[in-house]
Parts: sequence; C-alpha cells; structure tokens
Amino acid sequence: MNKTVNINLAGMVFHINEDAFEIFNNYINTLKNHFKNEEGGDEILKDIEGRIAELFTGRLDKKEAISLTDINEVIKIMGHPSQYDDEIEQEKPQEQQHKEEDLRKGKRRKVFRDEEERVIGGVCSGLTSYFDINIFWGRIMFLILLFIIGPGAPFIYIILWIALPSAKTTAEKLEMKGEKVNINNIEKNIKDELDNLEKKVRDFDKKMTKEVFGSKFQIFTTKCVDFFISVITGIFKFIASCFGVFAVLLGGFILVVLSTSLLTEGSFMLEVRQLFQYIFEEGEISSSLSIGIILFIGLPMVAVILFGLKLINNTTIHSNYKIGMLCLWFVSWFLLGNSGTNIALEFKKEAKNTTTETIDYNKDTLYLSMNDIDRNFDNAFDAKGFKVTPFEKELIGIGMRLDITKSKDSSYNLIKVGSSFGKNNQTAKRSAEGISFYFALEDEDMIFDDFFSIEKQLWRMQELDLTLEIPIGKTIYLDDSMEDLIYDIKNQENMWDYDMLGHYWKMEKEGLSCISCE
Amino acid sequence: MKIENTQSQMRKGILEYCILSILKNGEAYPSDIIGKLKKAKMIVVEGTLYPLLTRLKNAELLQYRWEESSSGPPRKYYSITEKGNTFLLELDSTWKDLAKAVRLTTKTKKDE
Repeated sequence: MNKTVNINLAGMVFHINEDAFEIFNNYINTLKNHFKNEEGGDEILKDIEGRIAELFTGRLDKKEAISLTDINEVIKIMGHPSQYDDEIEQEKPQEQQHKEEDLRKGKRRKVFRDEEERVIGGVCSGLTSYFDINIFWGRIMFLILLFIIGPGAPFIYIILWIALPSAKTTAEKLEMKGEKVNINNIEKNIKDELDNLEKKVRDFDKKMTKEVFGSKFQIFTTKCVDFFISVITGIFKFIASCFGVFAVLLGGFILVVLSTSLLTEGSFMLEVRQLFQYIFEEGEISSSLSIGIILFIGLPMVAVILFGLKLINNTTIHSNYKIGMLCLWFVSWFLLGNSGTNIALEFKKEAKNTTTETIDYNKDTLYLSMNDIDRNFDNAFDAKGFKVTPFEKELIGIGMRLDITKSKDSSYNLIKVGSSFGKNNQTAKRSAEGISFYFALEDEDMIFDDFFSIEKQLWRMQELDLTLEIPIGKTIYLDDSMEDLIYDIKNQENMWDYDMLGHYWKMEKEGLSCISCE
Repeated sequence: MKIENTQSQMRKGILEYCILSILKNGEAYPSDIIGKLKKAKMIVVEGTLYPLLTRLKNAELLQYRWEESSSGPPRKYYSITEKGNTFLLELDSTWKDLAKAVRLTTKTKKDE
C-alpha cells in the first residue's frame, strides 16, 4: 500500500505516490534554482511543468497514481539542468562563467544555512562550514558570544536565520563548503583576478589591432564598451562587497549595542529608561516609547545588515519580510508620535503654589549661607535645573532663585512660590504643592538647602522662586556660598548679585543698602 | 581541453538556428519541435528546449498563441515573427559561409 500526494501541474491534478513525490519535488526545486536568475525563468518552469503534465496524462491510461518508475522516466526524458548546460552554453556574463568554473574547482564560497547539521536553524553549522571551523568549536564560540554580547546574540541569530538561504541543491552545498577561506587562498584569488584582468587587457589589445585593421569599426566600438563595462563592473563589485562587509559590521554593532543596552546595567539605553521613571507613570507611555525607540532604530539597522548581506552574498529575503519590516517601522513612527503627544499633554497646564513661612528670629543681623554639599550628582538627568541624587536615586531641583525684599511687618518671612506643569490644573497644582524646600536656623546663621525636593513626584518642569522678607532696620550678611542662590536682588547701590557677596546689607525704607562697602 | 566543451561550443548557436528553421515552415508546439530535434540528434533531453524557446520569444524572434488540448493542459503554439525571419536569413548566410569554410579547410588538410 502506498500513500499518495495530490499535486497541481499546469492546472491539472495528479495523484502521485509519496516516494515518487519526494523525487519529483526535488527535481522541480533543482529546475527552479537553475532558472531563478534567468529572465523569464518562471515562464520556462511553467512550460516545463506543462510538458510534464502532458507526459503524465499519457502515462495514466490504465491507472490513477503516478509511480516512482513514471517519475524516473519523465525525468529522464526532460533531463537534469546539468545536461542542458552541456548542450547549450548560455550566454552568460564572463563573471558568472568564472564563478561556475571556480565552483567546479570548489573555490568560491557562499554562506548558507546547513539544515542537515542544524540544532536550531543551521546558522552555526553554515557559518562554520564557511570559515572551515569544526562545528563543535563553532557552537562553543556561539555560546561564548552569547555570554559576551548577551541578549543581542539570539537577535542576530534570528536575523541570520531569515537572511541566509539554506543550502538545498548539491551545487549550493558545494558552494557552502568550497575551498578554505584563508590568507593563502585570498592571495591566490587576487592573483587569479589580476591574471584574468591582464588576459582581458591582452585579448583586448589583440582584438583592437585586428579589428581596427579589419576596419570593422562598429564591432570594435562595441567590444571597447563591453571591455570598459566589465572593468567598471569589476571595480564596482569589489567596492560593493567592501561596503557590504562594512554595512553588516556597522548594523550588527549598533544592533548588539542597542539590544544589549536595554538590559545591561549602566548602559546608555538603561539610563534613558531610568529617566522615564522620572517622567512617566509606570506602564503605557513608557513601554510604548521604549518599543517605539527600539523599532525605530533597530529596524533600519536590520535593513542595513540585510543590504550588506545582499552586497556580499547576494542573498535576498522574501518580500513579505520586507513589507512586514516596513509596516513595523511605521508602527514605530506611530508609537513615537503617540507617546510624544502624550508627553506634550502632560505639560499642558501650569499652576503655582505659594506658601509663606515666618521665621522665628529677631536679632539685628542675620547671616545667610547655603549648605553647599559636594554631592557628585548623577548626571543621568540634567535638564532644567534638575539632578538625580546619587544614593536614593531621587530627583531633586537645584535651580531655585532667591530674592530679598522689604518686610511689611517686623518679622522675617520666607515666601516660597512653586510652579509646575501638568495634564490639567488639578494635577499641575498637586505637583506644585509637592515642592518642598528647607533651611536651618542656627544661632545667627540661616543656612539654606542647596536643593528643593519634589517628594517622589514626576518631573513636570517644577520651579521654585524664593523671596526673603527683611524687616526695616535689620541687617543681613551674604556669604560667598549664596552665589548660586541669589537672583537679581534690588539694592540702592545698584550692585550686581555677585558683587553683593561678602557684604553686610541693611534694609532701609528705600531698600537694601550696603553698610560694609567703601 | 575537454571534448565536451568543444562539442557544446559547436552546437551552441546551431540549435537556435535549427529551431528557427523548423518554425519557418509554419507554427508548431514544443513536442513537434522536440520530435524533429531528437530525430536529428540535436538534443537528448526535452528540458533543453524550453529555456531556448523562452529566450527566443523574449528576443521577439518568436511568438506564441494558446490552444486548448483534449489530452492535457493547454499548449503553446510557436511561430516565427518578422524579426525572426530577418534573423534567420542572416543566420542562413552565416551558416553557408561557415559550411563552406569548414569544407575548404578540411579538404586542404586531406590533400596535403
């Protein structure tokens, strides 16, 4: 008993024994491969299939299923592609002929996936055959790479899996395992190429003399053009493959960096992701932005690698993959745009929150200074006067502005005006209320903190303006450490902020007046 | 130097000439052409013909029309185009020159 498979040849349905189907399928694949680079290859294949259908019909007079014998005879009638080449040498460009000669000598190599030796997709085995490394060591190297470049390795593997064709026909398997790639052979190849070029030049020379004197000027010019075209194509191909190698390396590098940095401590992308935690609530925007960034940068890099592989190895991927990638890329645009809008919306409204603190102090002179701790801030977040504290990883503001004005009563007051943005007035207000700022009063010293806290709130471009009110008749001293805090303080001497440091200032009815200046 | 290479070199071109010549006398479908070429021992396997026909058709030397067949899929009937006829005329004269040249050179060799 035999199982049969149904096939459709030129619109006709045939039952074919399973064992025969294997052979037939292989045969058709060989033909497909043979004609794949030829113009009208599909049409040729269809014609051949039509003829085979005819031969099948002729053999199915008394039975219903096509057997192995039928297949073998039909293949004998139609012949193998190798037989066609023996009979009609196609008009191939010189390059291709060389390639085939090389192939017969087992010279040129192409990278394929070796599905016969595969564990996952045969990428390792294919690459090891290409570089002529023992497959065992190849896999060990892959595992080591897995540890070195981390999560990027499987990613690269999948790309190679998609991009590299598997070696199906005997010719491809030969190509896969051609001559060793080593310095000697590369040298030999270059030498061969040079000899080849030299020969071409010599031939050309001969032809020229012959043909010029044979006055077949037209043929001569065609040959001339052909010659230059072949030289230029040669040079171009060389440049193209160099460029291809470069593209693969560059794309691979960026991709490895990108994918690795997503998960590795201390890398750039992780810092970017850490920043998100100061800007977004956990979840939606943050992850859609991350995915958007990865796709937006990653996909073009994949395209660069594929382009490079095409230049080196002339491998192409199915256009469905390309369309899929393009679609994904547009999705990344959408994700980025969407999260961009969401971010912008988070900064739509601004609100202020004012608190006044009366300072319990009634001596005549108050010494103002700032608690200047050298914190060695984490530089990860350095926008709009914000830093991340090194230990708690908390976001703090450092860009406060202090003004000093006249008090309406006899007390020292500190007015704190915090402002913040938010999605709406309420959130902005809440965020502004979260701003807190502290100072210490020790004896005659008023020591300001050098930062304000936003109490674990998200970053919404919070700002803090401080105003210290001094009662008339009282004196303050501005310590040098106040340099970064004071901002545009009015005084009767019209002195710049910086020049006011290190002096005693008395509050008079008309404003601050310097009592220690000359 | 391999004898097969030289042989295939010699056959190259002539096969196209033969196909055009067969079609000069009227349209034919691939099996007819194959039959004639096999008889003349110009080809051994049928697969050889199909790429050639497509190539000649793409060069606009041949054209075809579809015809339904009672025993199998529809068939392509090939015929020669005007361009093909001109091409064939040129090949005719080239062939005559070649045949003459071969005759002359082989003859001289015998005489010596």
